[in-house]
Amino acid sequence: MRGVLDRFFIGDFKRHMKKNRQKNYILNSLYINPTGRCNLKCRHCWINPYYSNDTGASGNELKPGEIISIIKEARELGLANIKLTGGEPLLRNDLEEVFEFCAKNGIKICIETNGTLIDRGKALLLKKYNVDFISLSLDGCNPSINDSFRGVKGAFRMATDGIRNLVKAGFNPQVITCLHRRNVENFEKLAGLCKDLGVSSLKINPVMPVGKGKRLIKDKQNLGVKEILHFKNHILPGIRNKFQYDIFIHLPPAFLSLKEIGKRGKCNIFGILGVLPDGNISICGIGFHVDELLFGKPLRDRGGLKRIWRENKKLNELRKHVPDRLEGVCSKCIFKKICLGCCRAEVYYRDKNFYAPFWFCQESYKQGLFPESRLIPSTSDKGMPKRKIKQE
Amino acid sequence: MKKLRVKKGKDLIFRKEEEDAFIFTPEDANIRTLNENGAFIWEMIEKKERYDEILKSLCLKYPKVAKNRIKKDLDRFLGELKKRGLIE
Repeated sequence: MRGVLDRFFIGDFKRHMKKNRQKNYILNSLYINPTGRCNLKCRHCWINPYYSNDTGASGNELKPGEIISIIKEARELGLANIKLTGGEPLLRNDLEEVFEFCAKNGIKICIETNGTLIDRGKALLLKKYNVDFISLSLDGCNPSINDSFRGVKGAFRMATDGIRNLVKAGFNPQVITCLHRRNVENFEKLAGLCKDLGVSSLKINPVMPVGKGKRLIKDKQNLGVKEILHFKNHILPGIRNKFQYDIFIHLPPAFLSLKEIGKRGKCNIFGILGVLPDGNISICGIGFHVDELLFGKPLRDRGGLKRIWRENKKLNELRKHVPDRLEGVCSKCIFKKICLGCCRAEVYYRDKNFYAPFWFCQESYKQGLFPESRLIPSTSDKGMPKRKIKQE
Repeated sequence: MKKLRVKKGKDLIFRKEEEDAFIFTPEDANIRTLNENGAFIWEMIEKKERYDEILKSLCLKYPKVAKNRIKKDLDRFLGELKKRGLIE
């Protein structure tokens, strides 16, 4: 509603669209991992791929035609976009056929890459097929910080060259950076570098306790919940103000302003499937780690992708009980229907339980840092951890 | 719409934060966002202020805006609240 004064606005938060007119769930996105290999050895990587510089497909990876077959079937379930992610997807230099198919059929393409393999020719190829969105990784403002974190000497130079090539080709790439002990002090320099390189946005991820991230946390190279919130509330606004572009930290909605919640993408777990390099289907890339979350191979199994999407028990369990059965602080969170418990894949990986609370929210609740205004008032604290009262 | 009141039995939760304000309805977990003026009006409704009082307060807040324009906006806003089952 907009009035003459435009001052009384009331808006409804959009929740995740779950079903179409025929009451079937819509498979909006495929997260495709064309390879389980990577040419970097990043210390935080949640996938934990094996190191390889070999380009092209390896023996057990889906061929381009097979990827297209899965995409074709997904289109019948409502597919609107694919995300190519890692391992490093651009190690596969045989995916032009996939890009072409998507471009011809109006399927949006998003690529998450470490950026080190994007030369001028690759950037122009991606532009030719109208790739919609590209995010690259950079974890430090100089080779010393970045390369020690990314595990390969020269990664900084190659990634920054990749960004330059994309910008020259007409892209507005996003940089994704992992916030860790070594880059936090120089974060302003990193934000400045990204601005100079011409990126459109800088997304900051805390270290996730999955894959190699667990080791990083054990070594105390991550920032704790309190430090992350301090960074978000007291350091980031100044950096954002100085450089005047979109710099944001990826946190659950409970920690964001309403404007930020509306603006930022959230994991729509009801509309996604992951395609692993060998053709197995999972919720996302979590199938690399959790065998129970491997739902079968549509190119091999009877009923294909449709059967998995409609009949898989784990998927149906998720759809039926998230967010109503969320536990811990997630059960008391006002934003649970928007957030859906943030990353259910991470939670399942850790607890083998789809409904356990998300680690960041639960930890912040224990430390008295969960925003009180985002909690549903309740007389019962059954099942809740003890917490400090103090708010940041 | 002279008497305004929050819908009975709705158990609504109104939250005003540093930057934001919203109404949360626990029964369906819906969130409705309000801007500063929306929050101002909602607080008056919660205090059981009458329509005329709310209009008067808004006119005092915006002395340079014509009363009939403010009234039109207020009516539309109240209509939106009513449509969403938040007031009666």
